[in-house]
Amino acid sequence: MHAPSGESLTRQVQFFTGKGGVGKSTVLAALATAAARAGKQPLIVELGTHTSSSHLFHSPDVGYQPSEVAPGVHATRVLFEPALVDYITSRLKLRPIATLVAKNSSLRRLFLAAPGVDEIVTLHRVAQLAADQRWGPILVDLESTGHALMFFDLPGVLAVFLRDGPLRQVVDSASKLLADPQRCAIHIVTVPEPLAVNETIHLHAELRKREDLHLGYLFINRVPRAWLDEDENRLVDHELAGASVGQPWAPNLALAQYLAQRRQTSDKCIRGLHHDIDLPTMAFGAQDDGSATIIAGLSDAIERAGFR
Amino acid sequence: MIALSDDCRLAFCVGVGGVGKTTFAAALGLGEALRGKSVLVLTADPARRLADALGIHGLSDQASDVPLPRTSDAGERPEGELHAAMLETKASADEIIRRAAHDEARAQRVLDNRIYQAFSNTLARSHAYAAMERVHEAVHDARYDLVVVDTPPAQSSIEILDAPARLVSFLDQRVVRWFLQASDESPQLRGGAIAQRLLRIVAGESLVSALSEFLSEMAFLREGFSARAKDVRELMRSTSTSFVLVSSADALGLEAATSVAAEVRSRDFELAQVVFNRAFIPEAARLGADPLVYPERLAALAPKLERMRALVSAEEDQKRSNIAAFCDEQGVGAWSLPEARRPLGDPSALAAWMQQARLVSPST
Repeated sequence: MHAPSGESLTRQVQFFTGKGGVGKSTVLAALATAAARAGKQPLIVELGTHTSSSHLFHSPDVGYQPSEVAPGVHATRVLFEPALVDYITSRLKLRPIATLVAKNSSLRRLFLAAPGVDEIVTLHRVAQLAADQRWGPILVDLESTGHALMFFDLPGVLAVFLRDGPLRQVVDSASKLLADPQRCAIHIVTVPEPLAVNETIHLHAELRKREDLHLGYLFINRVPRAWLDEDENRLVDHELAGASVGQPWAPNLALAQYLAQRRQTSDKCIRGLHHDIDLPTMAFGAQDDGSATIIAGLSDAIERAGFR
Repeated sequence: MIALSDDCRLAFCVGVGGVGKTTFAAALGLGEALRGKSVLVLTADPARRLADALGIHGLSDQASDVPLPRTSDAGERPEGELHAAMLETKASADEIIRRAAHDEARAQRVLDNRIYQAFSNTLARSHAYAAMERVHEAVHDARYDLVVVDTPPAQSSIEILDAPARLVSFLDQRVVRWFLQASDESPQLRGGAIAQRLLRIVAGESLVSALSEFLSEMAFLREGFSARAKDVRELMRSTSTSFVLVSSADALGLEAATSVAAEVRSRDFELAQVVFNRAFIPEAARLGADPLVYPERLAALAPKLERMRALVSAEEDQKRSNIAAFCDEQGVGAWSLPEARRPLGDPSALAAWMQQARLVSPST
């Protein structure tokens, strides 16, 4: 494991991606909590209709305007409609007209149907929040693998046919932000399970191909506990193969064997990750179900690792 | 056993990412094939897991045959068939254009269009449109009795559900027309001309011009595309279409499941089944409720074994009560599937896993 310097975690804009269900939002929430404790102004940015941070922090629903979800931690959701109005306002300078444009039924149909509109307004919103010096770090909870790659490809895709004009400016400023190693980092979150590891290695290789992106950390979440040492595991196997068969405690031994296998799989997965991915790594243990405990546990671990 | 109704022709597996949706879609398709249907499992997930789950190498836009496991000791083969394909947006989109154009030169002009090229390869919405076309084609393919669609995670799965309606709304209306013949003279088009001028301000001249050019190249596709989008939209509401919600059983998973269920219902789609994956560990089923007395030789191990038992039992109880609460709140039954001991990587393993499903009924 690389010694975590925490350097990439101090950049202003942090993107997080990884396979679905690996606990991206939880890691993000923990980092935000640690940043707030260190006196910073963290802002969690979520995309789309589903919000995790309000569940994680047991706070009221997060909306388009940043709201405080925990002491010192703010969150916002990039909702399509207000983000679109914000983008149009930035071009027309007059919000009432922008609202009319966004509500024009023909244009609405176009905006809802045209590929890329969500990605553009999202990039614009992130850049807008980044320009507002109030926030730092800004932690963006991207969608999982495939769609995150599409997101990072967008500036390149659009640049092909946007020679000039306002959208070109959005694309250029987004590309500049993404390419700035002083301001931006992309982190990958995973769990030590075979499917997730395969996808993570693929994702990492794909991100590496995009040379203007700057990768930060690999977070390995939910590492199962090692309950028993090697000798104890051997004893368990031995007992299950002979003396303990049919005994009332046999189910407990079978469970111990199962959990040992899970841990073995996890060790193998982590070795595979280290072999193929040369990013500084931070690993977190599996936590009991209960988001407050998870966030507290993770943010303690992050502070111990030296991120201030 | 988790099964779809006999008249089901199309099933969408929906849910947030990382809950085992692709694996479940593979297992569901396999189960139906073993019941005698000819099934196509179509994954719309940009990440390629379906091939792994089915133990086949490489999956493409063209359907591959998946060998079914023998159903009896005598080595009998089941009657059904299982096929799998992965949606490749660009390949599907190119195919759609070629089919619709009826003319090589015309097709080539669209395929060469830079807007088409930029968008057919990337972006969630392009993906959703191509998926919709592929689903339409598969459902009307006489080789298949049933099409199982594995949708991409969360946000994008909703994107797929909304794609037909959005496209119909866009193509049916004046929007396209004022791109093609914007004019201030016709009063009918005046609103459109104003809108287009505003669009030029917010999106830029070059994009609007490129878009107009693209839409006129695409004009011949419009009717067919719109008709198919309407078809798919109707198909999604038909009684022969089922939505299967797949979720994890932890607290965050439940929150997500509740919101996806609401998304499905708000579109008037029928939620046919709910499946909680990794809802239990089979090994935990035989754990007792109380601490045990161990023989002397296990004395050193005993406290650790007891801690494991207590922790795992508590986790299992928590998941069980999460699922029960979901069923009561939604008034639906649900299936629990166990955590698989090893990654599921072939049809026999998938079938064995599905056999372990347990039904949970709402208490009222």
